[in-house]
Amino acid sequence: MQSRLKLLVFFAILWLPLPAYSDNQSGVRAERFIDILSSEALKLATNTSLSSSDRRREIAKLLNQGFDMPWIARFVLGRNWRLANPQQRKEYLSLFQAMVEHTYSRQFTDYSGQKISVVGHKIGKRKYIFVLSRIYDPNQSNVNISVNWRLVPDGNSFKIVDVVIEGVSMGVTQRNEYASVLQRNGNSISALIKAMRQSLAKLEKRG
Amino acid sequence: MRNLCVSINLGVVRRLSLLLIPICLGLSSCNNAVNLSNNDPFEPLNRTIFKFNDALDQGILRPTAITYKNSVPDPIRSGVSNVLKWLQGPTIITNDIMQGDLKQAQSDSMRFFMNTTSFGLIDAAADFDMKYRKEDFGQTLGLYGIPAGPYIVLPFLGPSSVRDAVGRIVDHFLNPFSHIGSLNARFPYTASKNIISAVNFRSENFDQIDDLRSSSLDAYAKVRTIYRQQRQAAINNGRVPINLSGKGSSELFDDHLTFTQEKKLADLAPPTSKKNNESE
Repeated sequence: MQSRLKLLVFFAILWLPLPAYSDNQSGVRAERFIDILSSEALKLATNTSLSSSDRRREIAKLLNQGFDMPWIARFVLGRNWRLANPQQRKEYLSLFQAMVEHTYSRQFTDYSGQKISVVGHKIGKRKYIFVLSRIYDPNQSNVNISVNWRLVPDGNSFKIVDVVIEGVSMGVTQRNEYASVLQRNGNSISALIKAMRQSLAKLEKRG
Repeated sequence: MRNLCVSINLGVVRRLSLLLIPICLGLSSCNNAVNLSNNDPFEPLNRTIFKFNDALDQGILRPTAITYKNSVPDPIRSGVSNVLKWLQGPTIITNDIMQGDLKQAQSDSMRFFMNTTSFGLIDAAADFDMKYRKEDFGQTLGLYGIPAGPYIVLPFLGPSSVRDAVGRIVDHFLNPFSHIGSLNARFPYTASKNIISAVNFRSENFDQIDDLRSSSLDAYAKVRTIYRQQRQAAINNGRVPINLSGKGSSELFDDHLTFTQEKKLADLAPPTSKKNNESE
């Protein structure tokens, strides 16, 4: 009887903290994921020996490694995804990807010594994990920007599906913007794609 | 920490919010749910004003900000920025109190008096961890549960909402600086303060605003959603709710998970030609 009780207690101890531990562990792993990704990005931003086209290629690699780009692109289109035919979907995805790459490579060129520090994580409902971080500038004490990352598990690792800067979600912002373009053009996906092409051409011209 | 304060002073808030119930009822839906829908019944007028403001920016404000950035030395520009923040001090403290956040009110009062020694030119208080944090009556109303109401674009002043525009007027009268001097001196004071604020804001966010303008498919819609989200974050005072950018956005993401599961089925089917007019 006593040994059975001992066994029960043993299993209770073994079992009880497990869910909490594993949750906590995936949170800590998610924090490390952001840590590693941001230090790689920092390396890239401070590497002055790269030509601008090489740099863009490296940025594209990093973006694809860290972000689930097709996921984000589909989220931005929301339920309007249904309106697109397979060919439009394909073109939309590649335009979206190219626009993000251009926008970010510009951010990298403007880099001026800011640092990022991961401050914690939160486990969300469904399968989302949030990593909380802050961007600060060692040279300017008034720079302290909150940047939060929304991640989904991806095999042994994670993928970023949204970035929230000072309470502004990049995904939601772009989703609302694209919804407005669609609404003003009679829900025509081809009009959206045309607007994206024009915008990309402008970004490319700017370099 | 702030939560604690709020709960301690809930009595004050409750009494204040009793006063606001009639207003609440008038506004039909009075809840704290974040509304990420556009709520923009005046969109055509707003777009016209947005265009006017944008032309003003490109024609006058942007060139002025460039000159300001290039010809005025850094320390003077940060002094100007500090004075503008200092002038908001009384408004911020009053709103801290109305929000029931006495701890923040205390810290902001200390901040105000400390920086008064240099007439706000030097932000000494920031070094003592009393950093600037804007609080306005629009946020206070938001905390009381008053919804933002329709989005509006104000000429010269930019994006706002019915609630925040009312807040602006209240804040103006709450601030003793608006009542100093002769009646004749007050309008020039307010006008020049607003102009200097605009140049200061444009120069501090120069690249971001230029980027936003050039990389948008629909700059108006982008500014509208950023404004909505930023205001909600300001009302939450940076406390990170699990959904990070308001309840509405979390629902969007949960909805998307459901949708992508459905979508796998939809992908197998040939694309339907019938238009789907569902909107978010």
